[in-house]
Amino acid sequence: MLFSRRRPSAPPGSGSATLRILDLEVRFGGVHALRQVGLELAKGEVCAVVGSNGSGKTTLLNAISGFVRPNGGQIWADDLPLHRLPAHARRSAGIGRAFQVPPILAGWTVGQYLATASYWSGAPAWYRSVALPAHSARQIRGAREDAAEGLARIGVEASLDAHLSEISLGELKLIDVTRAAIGGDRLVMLDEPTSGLGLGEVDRLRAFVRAIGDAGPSVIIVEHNLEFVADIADHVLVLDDGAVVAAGNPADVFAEEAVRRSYMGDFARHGRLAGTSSPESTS
Amino acid sequence: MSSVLTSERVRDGLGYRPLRYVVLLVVAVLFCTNGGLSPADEFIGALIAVNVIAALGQVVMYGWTGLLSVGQAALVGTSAYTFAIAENHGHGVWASALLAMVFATFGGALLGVVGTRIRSHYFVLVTLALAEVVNLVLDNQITLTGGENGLPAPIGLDLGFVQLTSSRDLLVGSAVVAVLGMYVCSALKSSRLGLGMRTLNANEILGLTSGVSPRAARIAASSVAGVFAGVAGILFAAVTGFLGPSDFNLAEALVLLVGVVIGGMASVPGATMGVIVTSYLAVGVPSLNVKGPLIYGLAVIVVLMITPVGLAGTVSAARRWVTRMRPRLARRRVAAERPVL
Amino acid sequence: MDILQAIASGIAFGVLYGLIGLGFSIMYRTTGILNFAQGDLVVLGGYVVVRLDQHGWPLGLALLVAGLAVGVFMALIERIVLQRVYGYGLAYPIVVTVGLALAIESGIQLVEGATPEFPPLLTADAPIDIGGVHVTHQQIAVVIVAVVLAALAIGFVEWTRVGRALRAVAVDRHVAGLLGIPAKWYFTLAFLVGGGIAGVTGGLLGDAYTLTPTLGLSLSLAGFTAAIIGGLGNGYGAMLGGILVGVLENLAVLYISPGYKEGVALGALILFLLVRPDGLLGEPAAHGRAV
Repeated sequence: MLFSRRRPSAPPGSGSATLRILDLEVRFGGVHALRQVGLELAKGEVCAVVGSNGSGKTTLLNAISGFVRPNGGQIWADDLPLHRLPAHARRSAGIGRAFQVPPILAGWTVGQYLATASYWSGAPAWYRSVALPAHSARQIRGAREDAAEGLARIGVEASLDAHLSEISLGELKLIDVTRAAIGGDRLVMLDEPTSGLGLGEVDRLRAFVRAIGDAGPSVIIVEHNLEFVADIADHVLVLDDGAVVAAGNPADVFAEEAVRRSYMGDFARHGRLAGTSSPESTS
Repeated sequence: MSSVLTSERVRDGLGYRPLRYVVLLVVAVLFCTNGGLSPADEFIGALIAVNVIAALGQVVMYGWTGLLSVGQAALVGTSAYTFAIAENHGHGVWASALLAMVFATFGGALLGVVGTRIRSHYFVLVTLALAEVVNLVLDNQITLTGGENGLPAPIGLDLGFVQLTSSRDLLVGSAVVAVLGMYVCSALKSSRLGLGMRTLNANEILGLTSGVSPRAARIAASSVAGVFAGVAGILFAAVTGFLGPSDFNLAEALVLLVGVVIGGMASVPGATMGVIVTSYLAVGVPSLNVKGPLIYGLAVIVVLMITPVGLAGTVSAARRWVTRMRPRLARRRVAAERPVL
Repeated sequence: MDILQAIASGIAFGVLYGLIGLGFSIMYRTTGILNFAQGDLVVLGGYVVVRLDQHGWPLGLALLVAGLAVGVFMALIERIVLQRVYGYGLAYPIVVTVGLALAIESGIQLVEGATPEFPPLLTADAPIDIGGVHVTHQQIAVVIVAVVLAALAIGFVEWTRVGRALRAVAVDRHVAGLLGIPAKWYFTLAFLVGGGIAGVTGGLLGDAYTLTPTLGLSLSLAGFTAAIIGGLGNGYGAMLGGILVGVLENLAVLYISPGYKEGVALGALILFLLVRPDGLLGEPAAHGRAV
């Protein structure tokens, strides 16, 4: 009851798409943050959302997370009407979310932070905790081992008992990504995960995101780092002023004239996809 | 794959160790029975134990969930008076106790419902007002509560399988319940419920992302506070045999709150120690009379100035400092032992 | 006693509640701290006035001195104690002010003893009759002084440069800092002003209250209620709220029972906190979702 396990049903039209966003509209007072945004993601697909600041990228993530109530449109996760669920119920729908700036909780350790993602399975119910301490200890230890394994896969060397305030920003972001991955059986959302990361960390992140996609959950990444996007994304969504300007696979999207002109700047001339349509090709 | 763990092994998963509480229980009982305490001491000790129980509710509600209430004493009073009135009307101990628990838990839940709608500053004022309303009712509904003249209640507890009659019995009984309460509280902290409350309190967005329902967490926390208050109230009535409205007024609520705060709001052992100190000052030094509150007030201010994170926070900070010093000390020792070439 | 009489007495009490609420409001608005010792500061001021009056000081001067003394006292407390406990959570400043309230109470009791004192009257002239309503000159004088005091305080906060800086600090400490306004000193100033108002109010208690060390809590509660009803942070609101509470209380005594007099204020407080926490004149806070 504390952690919502309701599964409201009713599916209108399906297909193999895990996540379907239909005509999403979000308005804050005078600002029209999202206009008729649509997206379809299949299982295991990685979708990157790009666009200049203020284009609505984070608002999109917040709408899926439930922190923002849309003024119109729908969000479906398989047969679940996410848009009708309160924010805290989306975790049970398998939605995991990492933040642009991970919260540095005073006095919390890395292990405790990761435990917030897995406490359905990782933390014992209160009556078990009181009456069955040994069983509960085993449960918690299991969750800690899972968390440690997750950190190992993403290549973070910090101890589970290190305090969050002692961790570098790059590692903190990777830890946050791990937390999101633990919590996301269906969808993992990352908000600018490469910002603040060193090159080695970006490589590890790239491998980790691919691993997530391979394991089943879909991924949505809001990013500015277009090289990273080109490497990792199966699908790219370009937002400008709240509206979808382009969508498709990276090569096609980055070749579009409108996208290149308004958003890509230097990347269009010197980046990896520079040679796709312009006559002067340098690499 | 590089090792994620440093040289520290994965400690056993629980944040609490049940064994500790067994030891504490034994020590407490031994102290109470063999400590050479006079009946007056035993009486004070029992009252301190009762306060600890009530304060644990505040740890859950404020320390873990961030709901600051100055109404915990009023909840205790609700339970105590319900228990006493029911007993006086001829209902048995168990029935009266059940009724008292129901009232107290319900009162807590009600506070929780209020807490889901109102911001922290206003919430404190609501609890203040509600606490005063309870006091007002206790003062004025004279036929029911005896008003300011107080309400006598049967002293001691006859639970059927055990009778607590002497002041020593009551002290041991209260201490046992207090230690049990501490254990339960610690267990809650490591449970899903406790983790949810603390996550939500640390960062609401993180809590929501993790699946914690704010409404459920707050109502749960307040209800738990009500449960602890209920138990404390029943014991209070049994220990003192006489209830007066001033036993549950704002000053009493503040003894609990201040104790919890100076001990470290989210820490069970810390808060317990803090409440023992404040309760002793408030209850155990009657001879100081007027000077008592003055010293108490000043002491609170001074302690808060010196250790804003409370006693428990100071302890854990010290522990962390020691952990950091240890490798440095080890290195120095090794260097000293290295043969000079 | 009839309704008009009740209303008249209500206003006389109400302006006192309003002043307490006003001081409380100014402190809260600037620093976010709920000063649980507000009522005790009033009592402190009252005792100062009583002692000065016994030594033959003119009442007006005594009021000023009381205001200054209590204001400075509170400002010192803020500087020395409160500034150390900002940022550690809601409970710390509250617990500090509670400790302060207790300390003041027992301090007064130690120095003065517990026997009730009668605050000096501003004027001892006989009561007059206005259209069937008994009104003492004391009450009229109190209302006049209270209104003037409130006007001064509100005027200071709303219209002077210093007052505007106080409000800037209240709105956004960091931005105010960028504008060159040292927030810390303005916190102290808020407590100086709030304490000063409380101190003067102590001298206005006249025949409304007998002064005992333990009077503080009921005064605090009445003041909080006034401030909340009027809208925390709004000076006019606090005075309005105070008068409203005073009148309601007297009406309750008239129609219900004297024992539950305090219940009216409490009931009003709870009602407003639940239904309209921003009070009658407060601006609704941005209750947006945290994103």
